[in-house]
Amino acid sequence: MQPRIDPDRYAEVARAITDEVGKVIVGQHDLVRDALVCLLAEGHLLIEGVPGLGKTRLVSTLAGVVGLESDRIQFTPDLMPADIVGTQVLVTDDIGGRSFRFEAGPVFTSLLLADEVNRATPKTQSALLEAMQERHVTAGGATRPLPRPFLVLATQNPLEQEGTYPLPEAQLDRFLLKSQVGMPSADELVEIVERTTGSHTPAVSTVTDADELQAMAELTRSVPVPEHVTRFAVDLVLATHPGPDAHELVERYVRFGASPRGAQALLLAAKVTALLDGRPSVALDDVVAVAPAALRHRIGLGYEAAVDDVGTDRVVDELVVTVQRRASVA
Amino acid sequence: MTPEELLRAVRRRVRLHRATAALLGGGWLAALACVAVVASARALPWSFVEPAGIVVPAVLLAARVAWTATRPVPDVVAARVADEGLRSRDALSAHVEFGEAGDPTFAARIAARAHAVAAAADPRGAVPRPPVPWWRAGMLSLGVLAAASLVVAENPQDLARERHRAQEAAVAEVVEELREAAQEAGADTELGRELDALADRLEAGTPDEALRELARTEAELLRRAGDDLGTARAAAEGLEAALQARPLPGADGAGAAAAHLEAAAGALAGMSDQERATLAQRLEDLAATQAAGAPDVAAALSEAAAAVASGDPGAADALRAAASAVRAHGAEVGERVAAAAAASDLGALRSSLSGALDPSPTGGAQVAAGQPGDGKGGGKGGGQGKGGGPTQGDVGGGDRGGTGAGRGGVGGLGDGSGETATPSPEAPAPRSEVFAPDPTGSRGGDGPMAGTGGDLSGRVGAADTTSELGAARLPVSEAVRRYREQAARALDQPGLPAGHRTLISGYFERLSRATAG
Repeated sequence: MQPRIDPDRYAEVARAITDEVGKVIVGQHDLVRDALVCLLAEGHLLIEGVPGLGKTRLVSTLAGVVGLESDRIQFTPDLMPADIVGTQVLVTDDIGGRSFRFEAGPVFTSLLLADEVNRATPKTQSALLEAMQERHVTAGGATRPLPRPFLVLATQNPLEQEGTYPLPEAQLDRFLLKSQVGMPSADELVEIVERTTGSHTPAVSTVTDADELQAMAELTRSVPVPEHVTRFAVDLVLATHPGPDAHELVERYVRFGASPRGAQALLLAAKVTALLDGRPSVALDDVVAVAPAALRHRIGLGYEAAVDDVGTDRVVDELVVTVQRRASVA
Repeated sequence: MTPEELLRAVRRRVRLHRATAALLGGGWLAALACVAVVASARALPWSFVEPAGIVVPAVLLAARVAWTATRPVPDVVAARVADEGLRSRDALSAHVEFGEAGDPTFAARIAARAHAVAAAADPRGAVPRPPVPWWRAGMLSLGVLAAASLVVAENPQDLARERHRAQEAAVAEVVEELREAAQEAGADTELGRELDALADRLEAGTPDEALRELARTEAELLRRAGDDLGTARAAAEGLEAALQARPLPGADGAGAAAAHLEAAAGALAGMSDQERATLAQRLEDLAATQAAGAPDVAAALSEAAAAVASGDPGAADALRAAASAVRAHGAEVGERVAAAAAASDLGALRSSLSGALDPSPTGGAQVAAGQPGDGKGGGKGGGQGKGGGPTQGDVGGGDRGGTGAGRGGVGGLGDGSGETATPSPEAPAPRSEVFAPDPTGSRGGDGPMAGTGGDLSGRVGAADTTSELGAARLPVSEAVRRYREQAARALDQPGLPAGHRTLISGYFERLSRATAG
């Protein structure tokens, strides 16, 4: 089937989205790019960072730029699953008849901001599982589809903070990318302060719509990937698993490696990266570029890693170098 | 430049770099192998020459380099190499893999991107020259230099190789002579087959094994010839000569001894009593001459004599039986003579082979004078032996170009060993003087030569008639003195283990003392 959008328009729209978001969000280029990648690959994004770094602002800005309906859920320890997916309510009609009516929850939107998702209990977090993976929810005995596109942008505080619950591995695996938000640089912070303490509030324009975003997502999936690039992605995922031939770092610190969804995430994100870069095929460098964001939340580290202060990003970086060297033909 | 042209250039450069890597990667190992092989050839007498130690690794290395250089480089590999070199983000790989026949949304863009990359590319940049592993290059150069130096330098093992080749040639010569001897003996005879089989064994074995085989076969043939061959042969030949000189009554012009007896048997019926008595007496006399060498013949003749003398009607049959015994004895003597001759030939071959295998001045007389035994030597002689026994007459026959393997007691069977005499009470065997080849003289002197004393277990004394002494022969004491001098000179050469020096010096001292006595 011929895609409904060509790569040039794809890159143009993506650039326009980035520019518009940049009017509000200062710096955080990786975060913006990851959000765009997830939007165009129809994946979900997990954003981790301390409060006050603009995570929520990014989501609301992005929703405005792409013209999607958005909603926000503030996850708290007392949040219930029905607060997310909706519930049956008893209603009385004009003649006094009573019936149950489904009151849709905030998940029925295109761009869902799950704010501080790790503050809710695992049970409530799991309520998002079906929606994220199947793109529909089952409530009151009926399955209801979610709108397309459907994108969850979840934020979470670092786990070492009080009152947080680690996300279950199954749910983590359903996020296409995990973006880590760091503190902005001094110059960026100056600009942020200036923008947010003045009287002028920057306005953003809507540069696309849901239909075009859907077409862009379809084009993303049709980008050709050379065989050696696919092989590289697979090798990279396999290299995250401990075993007899595993990298020393993996053998020592990794408890479990990335699932096959990791390889899918690598290639999907790499496809978007290639198109954003104006290239018609995926390159090995695209996979390398997205590897940390696509794999960091899929690798489980052991106790020794915490002791030695070894993070998943270091493991992924080492593996990328190793697998790249192995894959080289030079 | 189109992507295809770029990939062709990349393939060429990839092959070149692969070949270079193979040369430097395996070259230093090949060079070390060359040095090791060539160096080992200075310690061990390899049969190959040093250049082979260089040529073989060099050829193997060249084959590896050629194989590497000609190994095809697939398009995908060339494209990936070029992408890595040009940092073109897999533009060429995608072009090669998807071509222009893929998804139309992307195919044209992929092709255009590849063309753009190729147009701006330099093949040298696409396949940059890999860093030279200097230590390998250095090892390669040093190895080649070292190996070449070792090849050019003189190798002390050359002498050993030459000796080895000479030994092999000597064995081949012996084998050839054995084949000829086998043919002469007759391919269908037992002796011929035996010599042929011996030649086969010599060809299959080492020179030392050849020597042992020769000695073993020689001993076997000598055993078959027997110690009393001279007596038996003398008896046979004496009977023939006696009957030729003085035929039996009624057997004038009959030819061989057996024919004489048969003729006499035929004429017996017409003989007078006087003639019968004369015939009986002759038969008794002849029987007496055969008693030592041919007891069966002697018994048959005695029986015939008695029958003739008594007028026994079976006298003719007795004469014919005697004729049969004479024939049988003659045939047996013939076989034993052939075995002895073959043994003599083998002895000569063994002696010459021994000389070829051991170029040191050993050999020669190894028995003290006056001692029974064999004198060994390498000198050739054409000595003619003469039997001196009072009853056998001349039994000489030393006409086989012998080698000084003097062997007493074999009836003057040649080999330049002179003759031995059947002992008689009137002629006790004199104490012999052992002669040996002159270690400083030429081998193969002509002319009659002295044989050495032998031992016939008391029946034959150690005899040495020393008719004439060839130029290549010396008394054993003199020979030993000269050998000892040569050995002393040889012991001065470096590289001989101290234990061997002591052993050899002691040997010659003992030998000198023994021969002096």
